Order: sequence, then structure tokens, then C-alpha cells
Amino acid sequence: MNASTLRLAYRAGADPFFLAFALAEYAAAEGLDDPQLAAALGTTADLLAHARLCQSPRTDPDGFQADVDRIAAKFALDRDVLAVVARHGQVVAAMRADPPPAPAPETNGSVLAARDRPPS
Amino acid sequence: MWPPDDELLAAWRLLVADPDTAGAFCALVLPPLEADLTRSSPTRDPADISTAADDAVLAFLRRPAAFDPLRCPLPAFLRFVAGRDLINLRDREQRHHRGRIPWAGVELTHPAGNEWEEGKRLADHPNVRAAVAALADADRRVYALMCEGARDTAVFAAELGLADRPADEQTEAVKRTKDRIKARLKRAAGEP
Repeated sequence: MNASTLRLAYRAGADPFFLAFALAEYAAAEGLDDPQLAAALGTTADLLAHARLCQSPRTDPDGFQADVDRIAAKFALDRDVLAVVARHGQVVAAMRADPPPAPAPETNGSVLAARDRPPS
Repeated sequence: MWPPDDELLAAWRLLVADPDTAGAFCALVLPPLEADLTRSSPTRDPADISTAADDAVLAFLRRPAAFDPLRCPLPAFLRFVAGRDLINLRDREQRHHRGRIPWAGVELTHPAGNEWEEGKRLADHPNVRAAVAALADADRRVYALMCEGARDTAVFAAELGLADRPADEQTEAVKRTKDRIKARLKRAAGEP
């Protein structure tokens, strides 16, 4: 893989459309560098770079299973680890797409604290 | 150098049928696309060229089937998309810098040390006006330069007729003159 394509594979890590996103998020969460990530997936750095530019597995169970199996077979990745990585990416993408709701207006952002006993 | 058309079309058809071949497709089109952009925009930052090429190819990967080879050859299509991205990058950069004041200009608008402020403050004193009027012509010109915020020793030296003297001699003479003027004006204003 040439240098330009390698750079592109990393840039794709910002876009949940590509598998590169899940791989980048998983590596960051686990504190893995590229060789460690490749080793965890049981593949080489070069094949991993190609895998980054694949589309992320679909979210429905059947589609997810089929996509993970296909990508794992094509790029010699550990299927189970790839499934964990892909799920991690989907969770991160979903959390970023739907941030936690803001406090309801009537609470005005304040919270109530519980007491052990009534005030004397 | 772009690969032959038939090779490009075969890679594109393969990409449409099997998106997992994206890496191979990118390896084929990205280097010549970058080279074309560099040739057509030689003054642009290479990082902008890379970003525009990357964005164009990534957008293509998202919807490879949207490309119609009957309407436009693949290299021309990618060049068009990347060129548009390059223009957008430049516009964004220009918007970012619009209305900013260059640092050099900001520096020049500052008062020169505390000399100008001090001169302005003293100049309001009635006794100082009389003292300035009583200064020798050369000293009065030096005082005017100080009030204007001049800082360059050579300017003061020229005013004192010392332009042909060695630099250290100019510096010493200018400092002596300025100190003398400041001391006289402060005395006139009743300051210690």
C-alpha cells in the first residue's frame, strides 16, 4: 500500500462509515498502537490498512454477522476480535450521534440530594 | 500517471461489486490525483492538496455507484471533485483570516516605550511649554521626535547632525541629549 493510501486509511478513521473508525476508537480505548492492534486482530499492518477502508458492518444482527465474517475472511482478521471492535465502533458512533439529553427545564439543572434521616 | 482507462474502469466495477476492494482502488487513483492537483495548483500548500484529494476519494468510496463512466472519465471526475474541495478549503482559510490585523502592524501602533506618554503628560504643563520654547533648535527637534514616538537612534542622530559618526558614538550622544531634555522638562514641571 502506498503512502497516500495509508494516509487516507487513517483519515477514514474520523468517519463512522468506514471500519477505520471502529479500529481507531478501539485502539484508542485499549491503548494499542498499530502493531499491537494488528497483532490483536491476528493480521499484518498492511492487510489492516486495507481493512480500514472497508465499510463498517451493518447494524442489524444478520448483516453484522455476515459483514464481520466476510471482512475477517478477506483480510485474515480474527473474527471474534473484529466483532468486538466493530461493536465498540457502533456504540461510540451512536453515543456521538445522540448526546445525552439536557436537563428538563423544570429542574433548572439542579439535583436533589437524599438524606439518611429527617432534619432535627 | 493515471493507469489506462480500462484498468480504471475494471477497478471501479470491482469496487461497486465488492466495496472491500476500496484499498486497492485508492492505491490506484490517489497518487495520480494528488499529482494532477499539484500540477494544476503549484502554489497551494501540499497539505491542502492531500486533504482535497483524500476528501474526494473518500466521498467517492461512499457512493461509487453514483459515478457514470459514460458521462465523464474517472480521472476528470475525481479532479473536478477534488478541485472543488480545494477551492472550498481556500475560501474557508480566507474567511478565517479576514479582518485580522498583521502582527507587524499591531506592534507599530503601540506607543514607543514610555517616552511618548511621558512627553505628552509633561507637554500639558504650562512651565514645560515655556521650557520647550527655550530649548536649543536641535534639542527641540529631538523633543519633537520623542513626542512622535520615534525610537530609531539613527533618526535622532541624523537630526543632531551625527549621521556620519560611528554607531556607538551616535548612541551615546543621542542618549545624552534625550536625558538632558527629559531632565530639563521634568525640572520645569517641578518633578524631581
